[in-house]
Amino acid sequence: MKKIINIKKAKKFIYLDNGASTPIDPQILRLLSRTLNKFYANTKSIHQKGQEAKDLLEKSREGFAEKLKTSPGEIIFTSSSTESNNLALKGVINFTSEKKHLIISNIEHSSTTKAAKYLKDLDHEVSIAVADKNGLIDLDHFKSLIKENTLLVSFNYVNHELGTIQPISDIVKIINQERKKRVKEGNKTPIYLHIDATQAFGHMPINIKDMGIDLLTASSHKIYGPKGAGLLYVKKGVKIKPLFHGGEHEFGIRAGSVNLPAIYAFYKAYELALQRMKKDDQKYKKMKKLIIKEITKKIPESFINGDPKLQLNNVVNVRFNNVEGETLAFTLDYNNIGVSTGSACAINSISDSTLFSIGLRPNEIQSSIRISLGRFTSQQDIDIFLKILIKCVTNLRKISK
Amino acid sequence: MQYSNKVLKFFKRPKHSGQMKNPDTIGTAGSLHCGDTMAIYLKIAKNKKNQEFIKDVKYKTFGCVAAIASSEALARIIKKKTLKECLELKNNDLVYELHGLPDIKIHCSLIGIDALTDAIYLYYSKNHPELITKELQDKEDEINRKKQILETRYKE
Repeated sequence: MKKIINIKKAKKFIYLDNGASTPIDPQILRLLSRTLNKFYANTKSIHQKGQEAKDLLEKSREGFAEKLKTSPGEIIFTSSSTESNNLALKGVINFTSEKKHLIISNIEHSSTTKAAKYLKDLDHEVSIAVADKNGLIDLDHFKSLIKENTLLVSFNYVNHELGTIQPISDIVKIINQERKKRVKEGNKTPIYLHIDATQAFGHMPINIKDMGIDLLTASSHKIYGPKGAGLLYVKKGVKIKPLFHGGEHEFGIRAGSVNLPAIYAFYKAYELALQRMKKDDQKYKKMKKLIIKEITKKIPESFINGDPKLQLNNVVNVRFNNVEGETLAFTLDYNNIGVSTGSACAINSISDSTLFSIGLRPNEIQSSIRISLGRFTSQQDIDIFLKILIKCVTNLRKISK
Repeated sequence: MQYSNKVLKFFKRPKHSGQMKNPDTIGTAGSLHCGDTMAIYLKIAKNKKNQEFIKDVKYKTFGCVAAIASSEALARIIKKKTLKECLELKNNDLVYELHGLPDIKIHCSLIGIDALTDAIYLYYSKNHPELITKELQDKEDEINRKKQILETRYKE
């Protein structure tokens, strides 16, 4: 009988979707389980157990502040990057009922674009800076969008689909120029820069003091920590309104009993990521080079999306003519390999995709998959993956062309 | 994406996929929703009652899991059916055969019906132009309109 998958499949599951979520590091898992067991009390309780929990929470906060070169009072713990992005955008823009101007780009994560859409529906003004064919934000276009009532600019540090790294220092320069201009003109409206560093966190050194930004989003489950923990750095003086109302947790900016075990594990996971950063990155660099070389050499009509030199080393976004991305992802899954597609085959999800924003045509977007490497990806995994990928693409092309 | 076991079964074993030598007619169709495309190849013969029926079918589909599974479902349904019966098929018949499709994937089952209609239309216009009803002509015009839009979309 004819089969779409007449290939020897991988013996164990090879996970190449670390950009979506990472497995928890065994070290962190042990620590999480201990913390869950021991630190059960509410950080707001006055008894010993409550104080113990509070101490651990503050230890995590101070730890992050030290590593990110900022002060503890500027770190707000949240549940996720989605919450942090929503808090940053809605909390800052909607602080007063006055109509404000927000700038985002056309390659943001949906938690930013949808929060911006929500603000637009509340009559705030939203402008969208465009990215070039490699996913780099067009700085001249961005500069031209700034108006005298622009309150917030929100860009990602590393794009989630392509891994493109934005030149934050150039963006900060433009914002600082605008600040000087406003001082000269006597314009009292502040302008803030929020950076969604979800995909960059733990992969690149982040020094908030040197970066000169005002808000920053990060998440635990992209750095081998548990799900359910994230943070938002909010510079002292930035006026921000809470999304949730209730107990006076997190300086009154985020109500709700804090998820202490996950937050502490998040901090420890960040510590571990910093220790391993250089070594891991070198591994990814080698693997990415091999993947690109093998794919472009052995699979005809295959293309790398974006310029790899401008991207993080753990992401490869690639397309194969006449192979549908979802179909390929499913076929790879049957062979015990997990990758992701940029978008499902529906016109709205195609136009939401970063690949659409950088000018790829719908059929090219539909032919793309994202391979994201991780801490537990071995060289052997990549060798097996490449062998299976080549066979899958060849087989699928027999159906389509 | 949650697919039924039937969808996954058809996707894993698309036994009618591939090209056919000397088909009697070839139909093509494209989806405006997502750009999926399909070509269907038919061998047509006459049964004892002197009705024309589909003796063999092959297809080539560029599309997602739902599109490939729908193509396979279509091929299995139409085999041995008369051309008249084929023209009465709706995409819901494919969705039923597949034990359902996710809502955003329903459109994927449409290209199969379109490609089949196109193939039969072209066969009729060559062999029995008198059998082309106004309804069939309208359907064919719509299928061609979609194909034209797709072509210009990809040229841009």
